[in-house]
Amino acid sequence: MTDSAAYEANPIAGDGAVLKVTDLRVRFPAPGRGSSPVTAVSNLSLSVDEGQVLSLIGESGSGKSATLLAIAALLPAGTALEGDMRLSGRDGNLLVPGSRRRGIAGRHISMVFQNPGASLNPVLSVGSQIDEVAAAHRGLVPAEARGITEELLDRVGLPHSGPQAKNWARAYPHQLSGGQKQRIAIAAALAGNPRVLLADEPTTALDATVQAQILDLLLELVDERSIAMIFVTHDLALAASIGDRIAVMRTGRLIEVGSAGEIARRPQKTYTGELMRTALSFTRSASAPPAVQKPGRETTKEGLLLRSIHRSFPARGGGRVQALSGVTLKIGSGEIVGLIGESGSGKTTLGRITVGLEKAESGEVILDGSPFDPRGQRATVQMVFQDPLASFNPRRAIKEALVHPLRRHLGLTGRSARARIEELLDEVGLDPALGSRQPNQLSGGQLQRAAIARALAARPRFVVCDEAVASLDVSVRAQILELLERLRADEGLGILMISHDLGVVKSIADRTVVLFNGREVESGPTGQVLKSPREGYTRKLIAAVPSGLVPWRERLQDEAVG
Amino acid sequence: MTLDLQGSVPRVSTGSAVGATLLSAVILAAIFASWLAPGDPLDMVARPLLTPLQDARFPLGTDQLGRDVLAGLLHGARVSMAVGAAAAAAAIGVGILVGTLAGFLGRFTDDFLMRITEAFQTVPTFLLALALVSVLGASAANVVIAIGISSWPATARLVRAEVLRLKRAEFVDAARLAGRVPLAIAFYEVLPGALQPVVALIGITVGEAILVESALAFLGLSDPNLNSWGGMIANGRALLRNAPYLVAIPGIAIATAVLAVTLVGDGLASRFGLINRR
Amino acid sequence: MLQALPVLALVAVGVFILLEMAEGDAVDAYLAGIGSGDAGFAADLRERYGLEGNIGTRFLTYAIRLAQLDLGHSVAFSRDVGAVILERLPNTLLMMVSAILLSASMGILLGGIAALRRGGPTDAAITVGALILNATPGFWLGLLAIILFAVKLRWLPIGGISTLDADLSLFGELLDVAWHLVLPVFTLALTYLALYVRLMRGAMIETDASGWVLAARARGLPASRIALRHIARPALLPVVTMIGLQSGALLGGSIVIETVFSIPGLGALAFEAVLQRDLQLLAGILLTGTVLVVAVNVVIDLLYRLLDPRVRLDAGLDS
Repeated sequence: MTDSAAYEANPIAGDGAVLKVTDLRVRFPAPGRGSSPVTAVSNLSLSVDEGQVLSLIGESGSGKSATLLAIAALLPAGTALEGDMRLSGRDGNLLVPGSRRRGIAGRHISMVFQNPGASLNPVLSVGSQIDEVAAAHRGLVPAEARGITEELLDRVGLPHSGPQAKNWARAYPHQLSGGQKQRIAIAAALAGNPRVLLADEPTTALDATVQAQILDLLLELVDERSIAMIFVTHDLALAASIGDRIAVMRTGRLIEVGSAGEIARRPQKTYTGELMRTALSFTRSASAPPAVQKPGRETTKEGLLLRSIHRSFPARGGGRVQALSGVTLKIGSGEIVGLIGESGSGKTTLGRITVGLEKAESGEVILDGSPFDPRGQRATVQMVFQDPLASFNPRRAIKEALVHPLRRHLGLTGRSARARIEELLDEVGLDPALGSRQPNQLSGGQLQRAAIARALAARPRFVVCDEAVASLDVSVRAQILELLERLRADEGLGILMISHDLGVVKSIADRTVVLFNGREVESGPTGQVLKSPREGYTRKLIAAVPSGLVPWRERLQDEAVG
Repeated sequence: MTLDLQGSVPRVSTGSAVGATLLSAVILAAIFASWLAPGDPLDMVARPLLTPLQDARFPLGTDQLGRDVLAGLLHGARVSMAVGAAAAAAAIGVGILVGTLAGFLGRFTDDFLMRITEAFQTVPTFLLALALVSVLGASAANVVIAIGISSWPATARLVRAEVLRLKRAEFVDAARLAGRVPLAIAFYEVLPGALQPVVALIGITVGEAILVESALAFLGLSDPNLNSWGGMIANGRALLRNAPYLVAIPGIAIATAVLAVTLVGDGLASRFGLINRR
Repeated sequence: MLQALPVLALVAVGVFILLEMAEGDAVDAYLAGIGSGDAGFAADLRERYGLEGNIGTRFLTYAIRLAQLDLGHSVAFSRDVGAVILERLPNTLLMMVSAILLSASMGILLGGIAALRRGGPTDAAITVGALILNATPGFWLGLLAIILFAVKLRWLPIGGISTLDADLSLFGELLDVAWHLVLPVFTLALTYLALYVRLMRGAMIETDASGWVLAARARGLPASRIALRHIARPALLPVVTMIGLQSGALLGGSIVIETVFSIPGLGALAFEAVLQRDLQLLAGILLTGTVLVVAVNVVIDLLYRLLDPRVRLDAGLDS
């Protein structure tokens, strides 16, 4: 299967390559009797040089993770691997199972995973989990490796001496934040001094500002230690910022490879161009959101007003944590308000209070000048949830979820209800025939359309979208945002768009509110907030987002200077 | 109770096929016992202590009172299955009721019901059944009640945990926003999902009930008018040295019945997707 | 530890209800035992034992006596219930603790081996063996063991806790007791073994699929180290929890096993109490058994804290 001619013709085959993969083909065993094996990756060739970053990007199901796991030799037994993989300075095809793979993992090729919490053993101290790796690759007993561990911890920003010193090595994973856990995972991955580091969406589960710190750290380590890194992500802007080169995958094939700047500015394939267009909507200021705001709206009573909302929850170790401290926010009819904040900022609680699923301890929700009554006026304010699959009862057909709002809020039953359901599904761009399916038979995008149809069924005037596009692929995300935009324009729907993603807010919101630790940090027209933020926190948040057009390393240097 | 739903049986299909075959054999024996072995199995029908295969009319031999071991076995199936099923039904019923109430009502009711559940889990189960039978009297109905009362906590805890989990699900929030009343949400959205995992407990609970009944009968505390497998073993114990088959045969019957219901229960659980087959 | 108090209180109330449900009280049973029917004598006795008056005063007397650790009078033994129980307690405790340790450690070992050899013949043999043991009544297993090891092979004693009338040194006596406990402890342990095998196997299969095991493989750790520290170690947690939950069932199981092997313990005592309709004694055993289970759970809690850092109080990270 090794086609050397194809390899020679491949433009990415550098000479200083540490790792070369040629014609990789990954096939998973047949999922059931009578079905054939599933080809996850075919004819994939790539290489990565020392001190360089190759970004491997694709949407879910594109085969990017399978590729990474194949390189790391972590695919389950029974997976068929074909092709050729070579490490510089070592003989033999590493895809051939058996003794050739011995001593590769950790010492030559290591890996960092998406969920830092899951990649650390919860019952062992983090220090011991670095010790054992350092020891295993040096022929030491774990206890003898503590010195190496402490150096590594120092290097990843968890020092054991100096002003910020803590006894990090003796900590357990549950005592650390997500960012700290990812630093530990990086230290453990590097404890064997590998030449190749595979990074599988290592920052996706982290908040924007933490993501920025981890990206800084990874790039510094790549430069210092001349590591060749393959960085897998679904975020093209991130891929373009961090990568020296980008490889774009779709349905198991590599469709475009090139230098990062080249692909970000002049993508050759339409698919890449499409991805780039949506991904860079945050960076490119061309598409300012259409201003439908009528002058004087702020003074009218019409709209949904949240006034100095307070809310606290019982804390784990006793006492209470303040989730919201006096947040005030207004959504006018036909207005899209973006609510951005990192995890723990209180944005989800605020959304739940807005629709009446949660009560405020003090402060009030006011609809058109009088207090909002969640029981009587439930139909007026509806919600689209984050996880489309979890928001449908797994044992009921989709259309059953639409029957109830129609009956309870509009009194529609029988044939008229059925007709309205078809109308609604059609309106959100979903084939009405899919209404009889079970939730698990629909894709995430289809389910989120159905969820929007369900929210619209009550004929609401306001809809709260809580991270409604966060779990969707980039191309699907764009379609859902277009749909929301259209509903606002056609039906005058007021939307509260809760998101951690500045790109989403920028592309759709008229006004934006920034939340931090339960307080409103900044608010105003979206363009103003995101372009010339007044507050330091907002600036930090914006600076943390990869632009896609400016290499991340330049940002590092800027920071060093500034 | 932490339930093992993962590693029960590696080859579920083989296991449940064997289980289904064994279970149908036991159930058929229970149904047709009076037809296959007419008359009271406690009556003397032949010379005492015929060893198995000695007399073709009594293939499993006779005990010291000349009672047909095969007839006892067939009629014993009736007692085991009936008591096992009834006691398990009682235990699961009570468990579902308590778990549902605790999960939905929350707060004080939940606290109170969970303390009671813990109390029942802390009391040594068999000791409780023993005490109940001795207070209530050794009738079949009381044996069912005693076993039922001492084995409901596992179901209650499972149902409560599932109700609590599903109450927080996004689709329940969605139903609230759709204007559904709390009672409709409880019965339509939450309860069906919360009860499904109970399927995984059926086999275990029935098997446990059969074992407890046999132990009570072995101690002579089950209904004296019923011919039970446990009673047959107690009876054979006196002749352990000379006629070990009197102990061995009914024991094999008990193990077969319990194995059958456990395997079928596992099969049901995996059919409902409650066991991850890895 | 404090959360055990309401549970104990509830069990005490339950035991009172049980006693109230019984036909006739302790005095009736006592009088029947000595063959007397004198009404005046009965009233005297009732007053002495607080068995007169309405249910409220009876409960109060019961609660006060219980608070003073007075478990009442045993009709069958004509002695204090507490004294009778204390005499039998060590045997049961010894058997129970040995059986718990044996079944849990064997279960962890066999379940672990089955999980590591998943899908192979070893796994199949262990899993099928566990299923069959799980279905086997303990008393029957005990009888079979007696036939084989005591009657046929004559390797081990047929029953009892020690050799009668033997003149032995202290060490010899200990050895003698251990010798007598081999069969009953193994029987008891084997009937509860299956549970731990299944649980350990399932937990290990689950942790095997965890992110940290994948990460440990990516970091190039030796397979044996991954199996022990990253798969087996976290999988112990549900098994340890189960030991606590099962201790009640195991104590209950020892009743039958003690009768089979004629071991003078709490279980055999409970059986005697039932036969003699000595409800005070039975109630005392129920309460003692509950306290025993609570005690086991307290120890299990401490063990769990050692194994799982997440339930420990945070010690802080400062050096």
